[in-house]
Amino acid sequence: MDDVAERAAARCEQAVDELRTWLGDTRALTERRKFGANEDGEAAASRFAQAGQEYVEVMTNARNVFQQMADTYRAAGRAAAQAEESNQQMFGSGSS
Amino acid sequence: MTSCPALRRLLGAVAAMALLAGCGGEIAGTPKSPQGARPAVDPCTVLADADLAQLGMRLETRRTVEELDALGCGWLGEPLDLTLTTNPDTVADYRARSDDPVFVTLEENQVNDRPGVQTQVDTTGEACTQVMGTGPGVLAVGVALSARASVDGLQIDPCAEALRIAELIEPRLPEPEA
Repeated sequence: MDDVAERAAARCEQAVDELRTWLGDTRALTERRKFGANEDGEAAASRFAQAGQEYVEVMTNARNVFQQMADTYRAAGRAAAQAEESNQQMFGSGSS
Repeated sequence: MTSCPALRRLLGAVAAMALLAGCGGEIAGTPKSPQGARPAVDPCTVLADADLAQLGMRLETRRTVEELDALGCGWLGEPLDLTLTTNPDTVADYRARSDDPVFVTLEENQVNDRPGVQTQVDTTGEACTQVMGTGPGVLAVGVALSARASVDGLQIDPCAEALRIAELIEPRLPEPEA
């Protein structure tokens, strides 16, 4: 059980790292995208800025959810291992 | 135990939709093309591995960053992620973009005695970029809180950290062009 939980946590942390990478690249892209200094360009810039900000917020929240899932899997794995150990001690001492 | 793969597929779809939302419609006008000379400094090696490790970076996470005219490298670390890139703009070019809606904040400052600009392009407050002039072009130091730091609620000012790292790099840079 502990091993299964650790594998699940590692998969979630892999997703966390992928999202961190995307976020870093997205911020660089957002900053470097320029539009023409005219009405259409300014409208496009405003739309792009809003989309970029929303994207970063959504991905940041998703990243944190994955991190919390990894933490939860690990905590569950530890709890299962402790329960297993307690059971072994209980039945072990009962049978001796 | 298959929740993460399913969520990753969902996130891919959300990411594609978010990007498409920002890319729809015709764009008029002529965007400025990157005609400026590339900075002489190599952002991928300006900090030695020992420096990066000291800053908490995991060296094995180094990646190339190529976003339009921004070129450099990025690392994941604790409690911060770091990107170091150069682009052909000057600090004056950034100043001229002070009304650009892409910047949530844009403030002029100094990196040691070198003119610089700090920018934020999202509203999370978890990321900040310190820009400073270097020969032709600028070096941009981008930092963002890691997921661990964010989830644990660590009180870290990303702009202060970006400035601190920029101050570490600044003595190694050529003088900026006027």
